[in-house]
Amino acid sequence: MRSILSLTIAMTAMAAAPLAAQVTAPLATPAPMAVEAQSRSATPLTAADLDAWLDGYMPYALKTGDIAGAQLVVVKDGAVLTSRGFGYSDAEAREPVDPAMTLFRLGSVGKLFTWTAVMQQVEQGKIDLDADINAYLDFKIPERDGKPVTMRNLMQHTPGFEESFRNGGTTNPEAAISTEQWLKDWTPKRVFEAGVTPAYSNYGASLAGYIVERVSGEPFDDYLERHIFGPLEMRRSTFRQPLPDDLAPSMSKGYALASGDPKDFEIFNMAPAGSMSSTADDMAKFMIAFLQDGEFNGKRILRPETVEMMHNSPLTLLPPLNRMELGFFETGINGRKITGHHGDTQLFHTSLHLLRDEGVGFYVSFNSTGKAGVSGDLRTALFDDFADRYFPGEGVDGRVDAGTAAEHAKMMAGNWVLSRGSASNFMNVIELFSQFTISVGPEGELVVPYLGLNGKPRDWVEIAPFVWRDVGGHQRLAAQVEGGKPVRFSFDLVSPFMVWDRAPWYKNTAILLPLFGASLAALALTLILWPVVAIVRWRHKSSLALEPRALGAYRRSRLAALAIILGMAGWVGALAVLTLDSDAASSASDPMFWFVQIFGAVAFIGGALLLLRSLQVVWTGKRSWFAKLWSLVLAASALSVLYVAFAFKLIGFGVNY
Amino acid sequence: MRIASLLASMLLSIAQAAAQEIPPPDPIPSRDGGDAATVLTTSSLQSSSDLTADDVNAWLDGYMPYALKTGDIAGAVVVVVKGGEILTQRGYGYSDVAERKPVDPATTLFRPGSVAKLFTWTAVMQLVEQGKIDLDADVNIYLDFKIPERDGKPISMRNLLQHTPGFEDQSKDIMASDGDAVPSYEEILKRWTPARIFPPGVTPAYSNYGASLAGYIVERVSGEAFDDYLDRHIFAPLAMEHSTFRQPLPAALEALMSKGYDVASNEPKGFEFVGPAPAGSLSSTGEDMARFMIAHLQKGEYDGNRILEGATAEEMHDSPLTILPPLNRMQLGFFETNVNGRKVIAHLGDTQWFHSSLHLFIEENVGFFVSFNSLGKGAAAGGLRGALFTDFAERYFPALQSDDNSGARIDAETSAEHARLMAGNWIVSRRSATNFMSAAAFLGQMKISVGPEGSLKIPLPGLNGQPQEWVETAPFVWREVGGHERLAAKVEDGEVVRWSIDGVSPFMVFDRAPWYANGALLLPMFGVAIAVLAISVVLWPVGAIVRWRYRAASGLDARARRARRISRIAAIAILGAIAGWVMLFVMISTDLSHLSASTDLLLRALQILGAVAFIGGFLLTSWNLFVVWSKRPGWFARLWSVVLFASAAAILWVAFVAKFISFGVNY
Repeated sequence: MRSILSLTIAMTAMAAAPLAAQVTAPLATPAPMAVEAQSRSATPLTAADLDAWLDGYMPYALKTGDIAGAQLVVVKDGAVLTSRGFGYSDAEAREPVDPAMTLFRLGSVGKLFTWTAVMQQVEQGKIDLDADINAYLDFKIPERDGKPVTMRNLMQHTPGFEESFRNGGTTNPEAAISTEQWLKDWTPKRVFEAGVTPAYSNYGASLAGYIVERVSGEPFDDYLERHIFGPLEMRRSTFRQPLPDDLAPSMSKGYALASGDPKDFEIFNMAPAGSMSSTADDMAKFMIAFLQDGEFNGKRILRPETVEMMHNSPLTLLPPLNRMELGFFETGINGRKITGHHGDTQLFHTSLHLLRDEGVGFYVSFNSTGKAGVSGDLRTALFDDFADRYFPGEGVDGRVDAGTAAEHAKMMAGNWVLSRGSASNFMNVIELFSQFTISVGPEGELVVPYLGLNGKPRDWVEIAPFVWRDVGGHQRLAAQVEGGKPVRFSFDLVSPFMVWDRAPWYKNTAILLPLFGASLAALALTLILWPVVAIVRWRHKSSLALEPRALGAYRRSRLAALAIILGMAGWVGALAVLTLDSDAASSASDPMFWFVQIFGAVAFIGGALLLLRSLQVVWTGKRSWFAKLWSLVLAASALSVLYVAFAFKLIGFGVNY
Repeated sequence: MRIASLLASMLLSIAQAAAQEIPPPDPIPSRDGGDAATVLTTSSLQSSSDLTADDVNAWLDGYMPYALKTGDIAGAVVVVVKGGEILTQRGYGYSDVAERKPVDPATTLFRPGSVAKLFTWTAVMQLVEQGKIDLDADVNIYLDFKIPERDGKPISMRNLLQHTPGFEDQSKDIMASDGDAVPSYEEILKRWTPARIFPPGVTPAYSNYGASLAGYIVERVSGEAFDDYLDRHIFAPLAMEHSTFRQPLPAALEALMSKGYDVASNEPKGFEFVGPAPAGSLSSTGEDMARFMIAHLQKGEYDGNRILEGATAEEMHDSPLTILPPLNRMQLGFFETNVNGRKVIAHLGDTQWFHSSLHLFIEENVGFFVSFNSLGKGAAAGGLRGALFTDFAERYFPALQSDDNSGARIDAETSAEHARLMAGNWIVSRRSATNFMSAAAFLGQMKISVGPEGSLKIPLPGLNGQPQEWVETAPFVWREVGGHERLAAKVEDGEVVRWSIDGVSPFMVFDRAPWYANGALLLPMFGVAIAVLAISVVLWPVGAIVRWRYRAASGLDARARRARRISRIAAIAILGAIAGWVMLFVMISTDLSHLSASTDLLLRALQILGAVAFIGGFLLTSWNLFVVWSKRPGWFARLWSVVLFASAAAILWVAFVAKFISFGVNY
């Protein structure tokens, strides 16, 4: 159950979900040995050294990770330092990855192009970063507490939208719909006040792309080609889906595992949020343009001050963690300012980092998710290790005294909910299985379910009040304290666009989840023993010696248990379909979700009523203490299931999610 | 089942878990296509890189840290020698994780495990040079106890150097955690001689006992204690100041010893005392091992000192015993790990926690040594060690000529026919045969089957944990697609009788499991039998409770009731005995130091109680069968009595085959 649902998150969060999957599933990044690296002196970044280093790093990492292939490019001082392909773009045909020719999917790294387009329009005065975006739309984004959403909110992932899954993507070109239609079909609920809570939003990024289209008067794909890909000579890059004929043959296959079969080309209806396909060499040009303040090879895509603004407009919410800039987010390391973006489709995993002060850009993309989702961790480790080798830092962490640290760890303990998630619909059930439980270890240390590369929990030490460091690694965890209590926290890896808030008591799964499990077990056990006992009774020619009223109650209670179990099985089945079939979060599944919602509601409510009635009959009749006790257990179980179903929106009507 | 295969690999300890570590395909680094129209320049890779200190350092710095971190391996040392000099020596990770003490290649001691045998063999060859040992004489002339003949044939020193004395495995006291409890290697040699299960000279079956015997002969013919001999005649001339076979370590070295780990994130383990010391008790540093490699690469000479005559060194490096061509062969003490058509002689070594390998590119005058101080997650160190060496060879010494007949293919139909001939259960030559440890080889039989399209399916996972693809490149020679490993089989009268793979062929082969000990039939039978007994045992009280609840009588007379009761008790006894054996094997596979006198009492108890349970249980279920068929009318009761009887019989059979029924504490 747990793994099915966490997989659901990973699978459906796709296009753009940088790291959401990693955070809810075990997350990982550096580990013990980085400390040593930090104290080492810098190795000069030369092509020869980097190539040898990468040749050592990548092949074993790909092989052990069951990742088919990768491409990587590093630019320095306005030119490509090295551009490399590793492994295969087609594992079966043993077609090697060519960094100049082979196309990979960028996922959310593609957003940087959407944001660049937005900023071009800002330069032209066609978009005001701080105006209500409804001014640019032909449909309406509702207010929340009287406040509109601005373009700046979209670029900083603070419009406060809940998550949206349905029709976000498909592998069936016939089922694809336009971004415009997707945006207009359903506006996710604004669950947070604008500007204050980062909650990564593909809907928001798609909205920005749509606004570019509307204010420029050019279709989004045409716009990018004329104003970004053209000037940057990115001839092998496009947001178009399916790919144009001249590029399609160069597209790398995408894999869950290299040893498995390749998967179909992913089509994102939320196109401006992540439909881009490109090569490492093309991405080098984009990085060079940004490292050269908007100019590439004599052509300019942005003014220097605009580039500066995109890299230096921080929204500081959880200091000292990485922050959101305008479209770019910080991926700082070793005390250096680094900006970048991550991108994850279901199969491709990508990251881009700019070290502007050093004139260096780093881009890597993997065409497989890898064993246990390793390419996300590998991506992070590779960049951390690159930074440690060529751009080490000197800083020494402070240390909070042991007594205070233990006290603070105790205050952090509890269940936390991720800001990025569904709130108004049944996908809220993901939260039931993905609350983040922080606990306190035997020596008063923080125990966080965010695992290191070795698959074990990291060692966290408190380096400043409510700021923890992964010992020997780069990740920090920081909490916001209000009224003496931590109310929000995040990690460097995701802090620019996601935070965790305390689970409210009435949805705290620390209690609800065990209760829910025990309730289902009690109902299932009752159900299983019903025929077993009947058979044994028949075998021993014994009859159920109950008066008609009690007998009726007995049978109705078994039927109620059956209904509740079936209602839950319906949900498990429907969510399993979503998990296993990446195309299932679409209109085609609407009848299925209507069915499980209605059937479930009837079963959960009706079942609870029947069991309450049966409770009354048993307690007013002459029954054994065991029968009385069990009728109580059953009624309580049904009420628990009903409560969970209400709290996590399984009872609700609608197929917008 | 998983326990069994784990055990099988642990027992390969000291030799190598090579069967687990087929290096998988090497992704091809792509050449850059270029984009001449722009200012961009891209680097392009040459087909091979020059082996320079700068290049290999950067390459290793890329390779090792991520590999150690993901593998949960605490630390490693890597040394490369070239042209008589140390090209680089690098430490990675920690020798002590809790203290964050980094590995120092010059001073941190590692346990090279069986790589140590190269020192024992070198000592033997020094004495051969002096005329004190004849490689082809009966070893009994050097001993003060007797190794029995087999079919009138003695064992020679050459047999020992080539792992062909034909001994069954000897595993008691192979690795102890308590230095006071471990007997001397001389005592281990004399208290029990493993059975000679193969004629000498023809069947490679890795033998720590044999290597230990060679060390004892060095001691006897030289008149010097083994440790003293090595100090004087090998470590001193090579200036290996941080090396010793002594256990425990001398005080001066003790502080320099790396901790050993199962995984870096767990507590460190204690120092391992290797019982058959000459087979693997060495402790040494990366830098010291570099000197040893240089001496062998320079035909016996290091820094003006000579440990072997040139001709002797060459004889060690080039005296192949060809058993399964074209696979890697045993030389004299060294074995081949040829790659890319180049001659590479080597040795691998595994203690429980340390995993090492040493490779000499004889023609290129290059040596490579690596040692890891942790087993790692999923035994990662074994796979990493293999991959690191082949990737090193791939980078700096790519194929001279095509050594893989990569174009060559046997036609699909013949190949499918050959795959069919290979199918079946195979048993490894290195195994115990006369005692309970035989269970490891029995449970660890290698099952080859035929995949879709007539491909060969072998349960040897690659680095990604998935089975690899094999193609037949010459009759009965398969190559791992995209990798270096080959598998070759020996055919007699149209039947495949033996095979091996490059990684272990010099010292281990696989022969057909005989029908009466074939796991393909026996293991499923064994599993079903256990399930049957377990169901009987569980349903016994359940039935009683139900009868009590409904006040029903069983309708059996006293004799039938007694038969039922006794057959259920027999089932419990059999299951208990199996649980006891499983517990023992779990203990052993968790820590090999349980292979010692400390386990004798438990072992004897299991042997006696187990035999009583297996044989007694079989007799009691037979009696139950008789009573039920003579008394009870119910078809279900009759059927179940047959099933119970058959289950007890199956388990008894397995207990005999796996030697759970055997007595004695020598193994």
